[in-house]
Amino acid sequence: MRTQIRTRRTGLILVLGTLALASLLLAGCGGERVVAAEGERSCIECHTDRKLLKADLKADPMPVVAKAESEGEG
Amino acid sequence: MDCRDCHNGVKFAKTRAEAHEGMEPLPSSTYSKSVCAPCHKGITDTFAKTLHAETRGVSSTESALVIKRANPEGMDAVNKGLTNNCNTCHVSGCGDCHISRPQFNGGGLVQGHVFYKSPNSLNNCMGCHGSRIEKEYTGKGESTKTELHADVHWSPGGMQCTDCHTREWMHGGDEYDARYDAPKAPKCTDCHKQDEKFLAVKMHSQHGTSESKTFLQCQVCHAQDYNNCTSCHVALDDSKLPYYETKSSGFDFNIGKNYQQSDTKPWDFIVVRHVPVFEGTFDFYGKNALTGMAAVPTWKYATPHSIQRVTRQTKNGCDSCHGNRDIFLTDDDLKGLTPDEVKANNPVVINKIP
Repeated sequence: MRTQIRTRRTGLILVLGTLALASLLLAGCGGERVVAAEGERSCIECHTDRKLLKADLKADPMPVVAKAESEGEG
Repeated sequence: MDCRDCHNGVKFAKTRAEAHEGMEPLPSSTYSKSVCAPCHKGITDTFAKTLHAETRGVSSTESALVIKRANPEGMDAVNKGLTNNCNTCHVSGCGDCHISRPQFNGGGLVQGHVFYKSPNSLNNCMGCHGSRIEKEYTGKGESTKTELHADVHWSPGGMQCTDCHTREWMHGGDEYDARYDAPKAPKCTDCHKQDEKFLAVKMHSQHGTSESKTFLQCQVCHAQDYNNCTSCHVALDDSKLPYYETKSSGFDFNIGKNYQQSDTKPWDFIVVRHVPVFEGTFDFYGKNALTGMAAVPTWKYATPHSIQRVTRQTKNGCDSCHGNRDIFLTDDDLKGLTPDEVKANNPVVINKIP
């Protein structure tokens, strides 16, 4: 009886552990950094921080896409 | 989905340049090879072949309509014009309708970076279809002959472009080179059935069915004045950037003979709009490129988005139209045109005002 309970508990721990590990791997956490290093930012951090974006564009303006002037209806 | 699932780039970076290394600003532009394809494969495949994606009828060096007017010796000039100028207005990917304003019109997100299922009529559709559709549909045009109002479907109807130009049609599947050849193109009769109520209106029974002695396109009675353009030059500036110059445009209304009667265009009379091509359109690239102006009318079948129940063609009953020379395309309207262009429009001109 005790052996059976021990066996089943071990089995349950193994299954749950495997599921947890699999979900971590599938979430891409297996091989990729999840935390930015000092001074680094992620895409969403920059693109949702208006002050930062404006300061960045002021320091390094985007190139102007040249376009000729047309006249009349197009 | 993470930003990089569509746009690539670098996950964490200290500078813009580093973050944008390998970044794709327009990830939907490659259609069937784009990030949209795995989930939306049916659509990306068919849309890539639509006129919005390829603008074939306007700019293809093989199938553009203007080639019918081309001088065989001047094809090089025509092809350069088509490639440099006419080909610039195609959409740049799914995003041009579902995320941002069209790149052709300067881009810019419409609702933040929200993906929206139905394109925004003002920002997406009319972002490109501005000089004719936007002005006519929203009532921004001006005519010297009548007061113009918005198309009744827009105001008070509240109908968006996609209410008629459905996603099934817009996403493609049928192949054709000209928009009026589309099998699924919207028709008035899709909603306005020719039933007893329709026939109870005297004018409808008189002119509104294939059994009528004289069968009129719906717009002949119900379109207000619409935009007509003349003399478009295309060229490159000193920096080799493409531009165009349209000599003039203005709102007017003209009824012409239906020069292309068919099952889908069965009417005797249609509204016609002047198109901006003329013999000198490609002069920048080579003189005498369009010596065949006599081949195709320059007053073309039109479906103005300027609908009202009461227009200057209907407000005073039969007399609004019959005997009213001004609303018909006559020799008067061809004054000043070259002999070739006059000849081109002979099948359209009304010689005897009904």
